[in-house]
Amino acid sequence: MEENIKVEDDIKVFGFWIYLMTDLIIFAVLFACFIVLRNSTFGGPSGHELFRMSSVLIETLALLTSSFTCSLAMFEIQQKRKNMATFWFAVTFALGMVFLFIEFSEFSELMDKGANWQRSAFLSAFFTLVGTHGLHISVGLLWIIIAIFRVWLRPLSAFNVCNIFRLVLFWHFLDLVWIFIFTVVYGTGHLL
Amino acid sequence: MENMEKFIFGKLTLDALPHLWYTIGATASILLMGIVFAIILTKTKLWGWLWHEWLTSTDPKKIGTMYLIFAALMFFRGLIDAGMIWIQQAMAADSTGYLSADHFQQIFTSHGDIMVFFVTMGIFFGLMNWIIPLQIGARDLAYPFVNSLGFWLTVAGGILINLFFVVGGDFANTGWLAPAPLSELEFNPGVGVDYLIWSLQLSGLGSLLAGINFIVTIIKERAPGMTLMKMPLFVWTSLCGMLLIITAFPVLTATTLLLWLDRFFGMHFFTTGFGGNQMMYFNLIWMWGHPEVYILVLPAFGLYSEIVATFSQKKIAGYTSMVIAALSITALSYLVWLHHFFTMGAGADVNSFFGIVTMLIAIPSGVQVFNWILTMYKGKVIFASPMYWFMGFVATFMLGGMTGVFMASPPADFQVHNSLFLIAHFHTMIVGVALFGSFAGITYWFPKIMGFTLNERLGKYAFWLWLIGFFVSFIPLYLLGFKGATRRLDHYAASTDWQPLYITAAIGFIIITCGILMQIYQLIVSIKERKLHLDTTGDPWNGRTLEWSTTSPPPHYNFAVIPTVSGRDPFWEMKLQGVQKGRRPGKDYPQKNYPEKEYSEKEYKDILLPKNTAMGIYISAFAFVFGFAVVWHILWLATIGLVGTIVCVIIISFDEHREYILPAAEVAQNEASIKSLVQG
Amino acid sequence: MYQKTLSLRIFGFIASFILTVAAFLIIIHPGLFHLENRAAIVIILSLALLQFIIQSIFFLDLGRETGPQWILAFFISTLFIILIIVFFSIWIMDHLNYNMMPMS
Repeated sequence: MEENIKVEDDIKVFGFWIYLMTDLIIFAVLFACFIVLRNSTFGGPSGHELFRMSSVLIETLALLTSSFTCSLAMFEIQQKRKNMATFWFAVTFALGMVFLFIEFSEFSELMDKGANWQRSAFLSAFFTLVGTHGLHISVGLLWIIIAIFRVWLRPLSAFNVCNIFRLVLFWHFLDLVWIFIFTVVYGTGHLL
Repeated sequence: MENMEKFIFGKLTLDALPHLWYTIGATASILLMGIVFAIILTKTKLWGWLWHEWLTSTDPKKIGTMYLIFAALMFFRGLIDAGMIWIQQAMAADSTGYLSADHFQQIFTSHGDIMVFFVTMGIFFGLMNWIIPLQIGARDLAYPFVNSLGFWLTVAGGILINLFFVVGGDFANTGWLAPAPLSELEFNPGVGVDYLIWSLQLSGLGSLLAGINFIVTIIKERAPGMTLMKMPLFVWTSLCGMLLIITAFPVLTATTLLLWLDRFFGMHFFTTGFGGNQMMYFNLIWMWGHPEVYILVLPAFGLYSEIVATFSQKKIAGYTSMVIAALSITALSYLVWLHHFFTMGAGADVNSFFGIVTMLIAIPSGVQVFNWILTMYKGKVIFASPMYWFMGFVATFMLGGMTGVFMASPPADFQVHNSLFLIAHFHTMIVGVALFGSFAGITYWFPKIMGFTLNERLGKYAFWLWLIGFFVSFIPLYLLGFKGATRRLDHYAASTDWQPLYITAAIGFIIITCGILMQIYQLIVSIKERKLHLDTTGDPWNGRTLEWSTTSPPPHYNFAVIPTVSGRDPFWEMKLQGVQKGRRPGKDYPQKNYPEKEYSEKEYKDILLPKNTAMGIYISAFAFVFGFAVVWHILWLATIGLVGTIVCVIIISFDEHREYILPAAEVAQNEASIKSLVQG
Repeated sequence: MYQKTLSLRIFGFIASFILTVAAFLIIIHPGLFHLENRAAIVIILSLALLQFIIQSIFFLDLGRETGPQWILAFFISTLFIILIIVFFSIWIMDHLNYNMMPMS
């Protein structure tokens, strides 16, 4: 078996990139909806009244760190150090769970205040945009579990390493989207 | 008890079973056809053959054939819809005709969706699956499994859009784009719109996967020497169409999903209350809708370029300008969507921006038309039937293009907005460009697909019936539009004097139907006398591109040895240089019996080919179950569908051995047997 | 080679971290930096864009494909499409609202 598996130029990675671009366009539509509907609160609460910035910051930093640890896991995979790779994937998974937990408690807090997605078009757009990102995170978490199994059950062949590499791309990509949710949804929502 | 029932069946009740004349009729005929089909398969013991050779196949040629058959089936469904619309409108002056208003609305909705999503896109996906790998000198697509999955998802969408006949009884009555707020729960509490949404979700996902697959294939899998600027124009315009698919279809997915969130979770994106914004729906759906038009016509443009060059026996005029034109159309088509709703009131500056960009599209389109005509100029034009379709297309494209530029001007558009003038315009484009194109393409590549040519004489009859029928049925619609007839009218006052024109249009439809019957007859006759029209050379039209360099039909590995390309019309050049032994090209037509290039056994190498897999069918089946369950709000079934889909995806992601090796010796043996078959 | 990769990742992480915290501080206390709210929005959007570029380069290895830069080409064209979707939607809908919904 070759020493270092170079997967970046695999044809599957290219196709996966194109898939990521299409996903990015779905998010663009959701962002467009959110921005257009940002003032359509219909007498309900606005973002400024609802968002708790401190928990959003923790969420953001957790996701950013997980993006970093995920790249470390990939680094270890390429060095063929299964234990270290598993460790970093576990850290990534834990941070992802922290993120999802904070998001979930934020959502339930909003629902308790009566600010649910049926309250106004603004809240529909908010829940859909942030929720779609959360759904992607859940898919990513499932994929991380499968990747850990893959590391232990299967040889680190080009096929399997390429699959894990695509997971890492996916996870980084989710953090990229989150930068804009943080800025556009929470940041401008808090400032306006 | 009632809660239990609600949990198990969701919104599904006994009322959903067929009880109207058309649902009972359709259900009965679906069952009857299914039973007959099953009996035939059982009697001939062909179940295994169907499953192993076709349904689970990952060979793009077989998937392409399945796309074509599927599109043909859907075409008859859409055609019946069209006929019912025309007959109703011809009858309904001062009367209600024979259809209720609601039924009429359901018919034009399903006519639009089926013709756009399943017929036109299906035919082009079929042709692209067949031809693109052959034209770029590849053995299969980049992701054979994804190709199979994309096809089956499209089929799942196609079944879902027809399923209301059996379960539900009513379809969306909203028009093909399901505009909000008409499609919201408030005005449309039935399941028709949900069927529409989930059918588009599944088939849209299928198209997206196919789009990604073709892009990667075209960019990464070309034969050695085939640089981008040496690709055949069909490959170029297909690439442009696929680029539009990957950028536009996510918008459709997101928009229809938002509509579904409104309907399912009670959100307020496009509702009339709670701050919802219905105009945002139009904005988003047309952001997909306009590129969609070019997804349908761009592959046709490339196909015409191939045909006009082949039958003029000349290289295409202005290849570079053709590529630039196709790319500009691709880019511009993403900047014009507002011209579908000039009348909504965005104001002068927004309307004029989009009006001007729309008019700009006429420039690259004009470049293409002039290049086609210049290609014919001083060529030795052979008027075979694909060329007939091409000539018919140029005429209709002129008409459609000019009415399009006319409507690109906002003040003019205000006069004819949503009138039959618009209907006539876009049918001129979609029938005259895309559908004529697919007929041209099917006639042109039929020998490659089946191994024998179609009957030319009957093909030309069919063309004339189609062309005349087309003008007889759509010119009256232009006139009606000027007289003020709006689209989607189920009845009108006799004092409007519209009825004679509506009747003329219906006569045109009858002529078109005769054209279609003629095509079916042509197919039957051609199959019967196939021995007379056998294509033994693999090159019946004296072609220019690589697909003609292999046998007809091609072996499942396409090329025994991957060709090396040095020019734009690689096969033509091979013929000129005598690499492909035989006569010089261009002397006489059709060429018969010039021998293939002989390869020595040493040149054959082991070939890596994709294995068959049923996973595409399983995933699509689970996705179909999910779609059906969500339509009827049956949560347990939806969970099964979703979990099943995910589990299948995980299983296939662990399957490392998706390919098998065809040994070089077997390739040599196969090639020898093909040769003896052709010579014998 | 791999040592270099590791240092790229660490740099990307630290830079993103700093940019996030900076954006957060501006959001919470725009007055601290003597910023109007509108100016603050422009600045946090620029910070987001900067972080986006940094993560694309240092985490996603954008532009380090061997051979023709297809991924980069697709990435940039997608960004154009996204700009069209978002900004034209805002432009169109603002005009529609201005013309058609004078009450709101």
